[in-house]
Amino acid sequence: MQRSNDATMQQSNDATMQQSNNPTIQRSNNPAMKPILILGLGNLLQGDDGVGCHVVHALTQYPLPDNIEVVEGGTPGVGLLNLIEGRTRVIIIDAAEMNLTPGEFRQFTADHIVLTGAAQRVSLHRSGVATALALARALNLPLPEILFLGIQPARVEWGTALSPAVEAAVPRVLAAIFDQVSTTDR
Amino acid sequence: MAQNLHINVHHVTRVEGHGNIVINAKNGVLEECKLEIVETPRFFEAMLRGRPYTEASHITSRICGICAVGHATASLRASENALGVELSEQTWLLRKLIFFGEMLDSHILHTYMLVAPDFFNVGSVIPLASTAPEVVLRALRMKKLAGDLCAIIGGRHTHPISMTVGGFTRLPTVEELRAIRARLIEARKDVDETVALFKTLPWPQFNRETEYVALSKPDEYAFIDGVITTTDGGRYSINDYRKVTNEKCVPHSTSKHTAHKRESYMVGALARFNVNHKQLHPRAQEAADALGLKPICTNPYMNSAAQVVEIVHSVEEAIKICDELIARGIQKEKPYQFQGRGGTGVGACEVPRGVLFHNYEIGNDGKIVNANCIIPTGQNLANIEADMRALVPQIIDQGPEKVTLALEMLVRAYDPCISCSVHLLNVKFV
Repeated sequence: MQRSNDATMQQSNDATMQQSNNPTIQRSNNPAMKPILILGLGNLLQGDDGVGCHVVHALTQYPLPDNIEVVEGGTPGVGLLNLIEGRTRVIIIDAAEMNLTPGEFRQFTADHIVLTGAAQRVSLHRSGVATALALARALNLPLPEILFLGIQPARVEWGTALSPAVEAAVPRVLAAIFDQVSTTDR
Repeated sequence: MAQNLHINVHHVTRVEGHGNIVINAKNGVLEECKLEIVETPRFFEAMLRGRPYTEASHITSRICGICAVGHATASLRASENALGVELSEQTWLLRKLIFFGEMLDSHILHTYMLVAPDFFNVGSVIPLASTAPEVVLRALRMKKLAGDLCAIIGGRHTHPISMTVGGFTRLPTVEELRAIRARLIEARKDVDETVALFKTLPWPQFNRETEYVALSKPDEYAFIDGVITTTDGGRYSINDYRKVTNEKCVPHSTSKHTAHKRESYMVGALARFNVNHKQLHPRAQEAADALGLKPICTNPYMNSAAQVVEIVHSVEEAIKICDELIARGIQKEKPYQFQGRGGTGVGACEVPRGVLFHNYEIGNDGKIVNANCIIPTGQNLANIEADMRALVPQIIDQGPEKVTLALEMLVRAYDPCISCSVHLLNVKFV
């Protein structure tokens, strides 16, 4: 889950990333890899923190075009970079502490997710999306187009159930995802 | 000149888990020297009681995310020894292969992301990514290979699903083994560059006579099973592990301390090197020479160098095992069936941080009656403190900042997995 005191949403200055010799983590890219990835993140054992995973579970009930892969990513830390490498486009769904009403959600691009303050002291146990993206930028890794869909949790505590407000948000989140993938023909 | 020194590092960074370094010296005399372990207890041994033995490896692999295969392996060996289960040659090969996958993952994480930043004068891997991107990319690439190797055998990167008492519930295909073998061969470039990098690092010079404890086997550098062997001449069956560990509680640590012939002993890559160096793969021997690692090495900072040597060894041994499995082909095997008779058994293996023991008593109903787990990091804690007690007077003149860094680097060199090692519950009666 992304916390607003870990990452700050900034206006993007559209800085271009320099790519030197196409750095990659994976030496041989998998040619069979689908270009669009819908990635649900979070911890299913911590209530609303797992909403990203709940959303992608729900998504798999629907038929999707052949160029889309749906993955439950859990809490991959810097392993996130392995998951998104080689894709053209990635939609990440995760709980995000944004001081909104539980169940509300927002969409951000990767430029808006920046590591600030205490979060810059990296703990490999708690690396979230912001840390992984900061690492990718520092490495000049070519990143896919990333859309982050953050859902405001009500409660992050032990338990496998979503709170009612967040559970009610799932259909609206799915609608937003379908909207995103149908507006582009990739 | 009289030296007063007060150091209190709250929650040392770049180690797994939570520990504080507390040093107090007055007029050059060390009054207090502690590695306080403050991590909360995990209760795994209690959790196992009453559970079917088939669950033990799945439950205990959750003790850790980086040594999950290690715990699963020790757990399975404990149940297999308790129940008298023999393993096939194929199972042995697969168990070793996934074990090497995890060894690689853990050592690469530790050397590149936890230790290297100190030598590059940066706080973590992110600034290192800006100043030395090829180094970090190499680490991520090698970690991905290691994780993928574990996933092919175990079902996923972390917390193996397919490992079970007597064998595997899912076998890799020969095609998967061919593919991972090709990647391991290609990784030799990255391995060579790893040795080249760590060869240039200025390892702190500090030596202290220490007893080193590791498993050993007659015909291979031991990782799974073996005889407990110490550099002070101790040799014990793993069933007699208690004669080596002698666990005791200490007030400032939620993890216990251990000791054998001396006040403490060391386990881990350096201990394994000191005990079993003759059995290293030739390429790993060359790496040891290149890194200036010679037995018996009594410099705890060189534990990370020994891990680099084991990275080389693990890649070469993994390639050999892939070759053997590909040549043999993969056969389906009959799963083990519980015979209605319980027993007591010990499983021991050399996980990245040192020798790990799981000891189970299984009832005739197949449920676990009792469990004991002794974690390598717990066995190292007394030794870390002994090292600190010896080191501080030697460097006290360098001032608090340098002493603090030296002590943090010392703790990091042990690659402590603190959450794994914590057992003790602090109970206050009111």
